[in-house]
Amino acid sequence: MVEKFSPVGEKEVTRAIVTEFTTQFAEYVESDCIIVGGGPSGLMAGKNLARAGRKVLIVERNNYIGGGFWIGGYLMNKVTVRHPGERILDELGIPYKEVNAGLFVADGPHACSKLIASACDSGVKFANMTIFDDLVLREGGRVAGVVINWTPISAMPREITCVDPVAIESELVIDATGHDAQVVKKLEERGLIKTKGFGAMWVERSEDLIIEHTGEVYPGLIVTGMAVATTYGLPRMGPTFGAMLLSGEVGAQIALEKLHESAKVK
Amino acid sequence: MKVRRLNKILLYDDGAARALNIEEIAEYLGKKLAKVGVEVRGNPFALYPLQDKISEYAGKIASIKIPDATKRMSSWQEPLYSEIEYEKRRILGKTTAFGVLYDGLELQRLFFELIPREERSLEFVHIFFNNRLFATWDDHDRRYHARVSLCGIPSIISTTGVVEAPAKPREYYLLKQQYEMLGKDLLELKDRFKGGFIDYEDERLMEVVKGYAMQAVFYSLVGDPFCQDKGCRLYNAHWQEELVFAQLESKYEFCQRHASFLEEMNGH
Amino acid sequence: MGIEKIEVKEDKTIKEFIDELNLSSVPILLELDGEIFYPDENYDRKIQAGDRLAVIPIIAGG
Repeated sequence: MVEKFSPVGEKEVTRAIVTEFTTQFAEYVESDCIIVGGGPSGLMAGKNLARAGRKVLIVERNNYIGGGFWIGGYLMNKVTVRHPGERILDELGIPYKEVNAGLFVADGPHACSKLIASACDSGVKFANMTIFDDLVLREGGRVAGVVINWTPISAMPREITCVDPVAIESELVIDATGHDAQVVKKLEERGLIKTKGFGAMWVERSEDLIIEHTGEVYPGLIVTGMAVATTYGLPRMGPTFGAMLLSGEVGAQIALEKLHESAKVK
Repeated sequence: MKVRRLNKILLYDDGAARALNIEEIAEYLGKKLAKVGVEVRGNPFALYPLQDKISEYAGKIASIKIPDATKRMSSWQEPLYSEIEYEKRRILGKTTAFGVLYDGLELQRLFFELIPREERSLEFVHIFFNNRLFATWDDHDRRYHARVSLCGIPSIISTTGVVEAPAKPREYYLLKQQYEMLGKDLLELKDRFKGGFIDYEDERLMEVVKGYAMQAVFYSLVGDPFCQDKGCRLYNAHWQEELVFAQLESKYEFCQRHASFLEEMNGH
Repeated sequence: MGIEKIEVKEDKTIKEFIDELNLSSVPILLELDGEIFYPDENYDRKIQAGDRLAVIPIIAGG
């Protein structure tokens, strides 16, 4: 016999969505860490922070989460990871093949969905279809949150929409927005730091440089992933995701240290 | 050629260029110049009393990065905190990550500070081996060019420079663009050109570096590190092909002129 | 290429010495009395007639 769906009316469904959403939103107006960008480095950082018991919100401008991790290159959905990145694949339970010494390949959809699920399982909450509009700066110049709006709103002319953004606060913000380094660029717009732009493209591979430079770029702001390359003018690396995953991991470690330190001060 | 009398050859290595075995280079140079002592000094940063000045020194290195290879640096940018931290970790040996491009002359100037005052003369051949990539400005085509070596005090030889400075065949770069667009990993591309150029972790890197060490020695001896002969180890290769030939494949190690010169020096 | 030894004909400063030889934008080291130094860090240093300075070009390879 076919199971019938529960007899719930439309209004109950609507009420459930709205209530749950607004409760969560209100709760996450304040958090330990806001991560801008739901790509591989942002997801890794979020997952690890949440796993350590921290309150984490990932802001993602697209409807979908995962950034470039679904697709390897040229719309071909295999993602490559160089050693030692395969340790993360193991931790996430993502199957992979070794195709060359130190070079591993996994299926984009499998890798990405496992990473997103893992972040969710750890307790990360998401605000998708949400764009980063501006930074919240505390007196004394510390980054203390972000200003956000709905993505479709930002695409429309202000005259039609004039929907104001809202501010949400956190102890730390992580810029995981990729090449654009949007959060860092906002700081630059305000004249608070100067990024190094795209550095001389000599060395093909500089994955470990990305990881070496992952960290706090300004009080309250940590950079991970490709945004690190843009911030410090590091050579662009080849299309492998190991550095993104490991950078996210390092970013979380640094964030935890900072949160611990500031808790001690309080 | 007017020849300088050499006192000693001093080899420094901060440990970042892991492919290098400095003892082996010392042995090689000792054989080539039997009458000149060779001393392995080790980590240049450990020798100079940097102690409380590490942050300052790291800050100076961090500020000489070249942001744009097509623009001549006239003033240096304030380094960001993470950049200084990275340089500190490099000095302390906590990381060997490389890829940043530095101004070669400025880098050499900073290393000069680490050489004891009484040894700042060409009779002491100071050679710093490392994996930092550096470039010098070329007025002719108005851009920076990555280099393998910079002879001076100290002479600097970069393993990253060996790989990146001399150009690979044009075909390689054209194919590389295609590979990047298709998202293909470059390891496959390198397989295609196997052997034709020196790569990171190439087992031939050591042998190549010996040749550049001899160039630094000749610089001190006669003021000129180079030779026009393409088969001589003193040949200044601008292409990987030339480098591989001069350092590895040529039937002779040094040309007649330089070979006899070395023989004379060793008193044969 | 090579190292040139130049005898100073009259008292002057290092800066004057460098300018006279048009070397201010050439990467070089100077050697005097067995010690090597960067000219631009010693511009005010005085040298005397009879001093012999070696001009050492800094040479890049690759």
